[in-house]
Amino acid sequence: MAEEPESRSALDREAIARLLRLGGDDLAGRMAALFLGLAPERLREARVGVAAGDVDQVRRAAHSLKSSSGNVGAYAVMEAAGQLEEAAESGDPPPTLALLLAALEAALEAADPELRALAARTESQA
Amino acid sequence: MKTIAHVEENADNRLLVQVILEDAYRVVEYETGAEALVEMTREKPDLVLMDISLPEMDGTEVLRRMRDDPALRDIPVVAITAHAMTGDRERLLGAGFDDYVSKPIVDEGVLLGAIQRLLS
Repeated sequence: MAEEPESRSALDREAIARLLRLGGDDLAGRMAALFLGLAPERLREARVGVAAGDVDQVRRAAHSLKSSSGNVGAYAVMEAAGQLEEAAESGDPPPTLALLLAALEAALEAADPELRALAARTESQA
Repeated sequence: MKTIAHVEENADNRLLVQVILEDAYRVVEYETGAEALVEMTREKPDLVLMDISLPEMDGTEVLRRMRDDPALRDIPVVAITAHAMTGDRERLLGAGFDDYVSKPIVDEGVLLGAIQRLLS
């Protein structure tokens, strides 16, 4: 059975267009590469924070992911990170944080192919 | 050309602001509040862009120390914050920031306008 095509891009087109207008493929690609470089570490920090009950660590990691994902138009990631940040700030229990963390991981996974494609736009340059 | 200091932990946020400002201003970057406080007394900027969520010493504390220092107290400081709720603006202005800009920066005109108003 043929798969349905993705009806929605994981990266907001206007956000990417803005990066391209500000600094071309170079800026857009560098921003995507920077995000891809930092996201796994922040995710790990959030994961460790949830497991250890260190809500401040979860909050800081989620806040950083929220900020950086917004820069590349990964708004589903930004939304999920914002929810995890708020839940950590509110002192929500570990099972809630774990659920929100799983949603954040899923959003990151969904955005990964387009982020890698964007990051690749500068790799051909000398 | 006026000099703007940008205090921000994350490289992607620094890059974005650099690109927005580099045609009109000289940008100096600091990754932590502690580094900024030391270096700015040696090389005074004309304006500071301060990320609120810095590691260790947050942006509000850095601002407080700037206002306590005769060498730094008169430099205009713009807060950059991902917290965009209504009460946050009043809180930031009450803490002594001259203005604030939300991130992610979706309209570079807002950042440029805030800077231009304070430097004119």
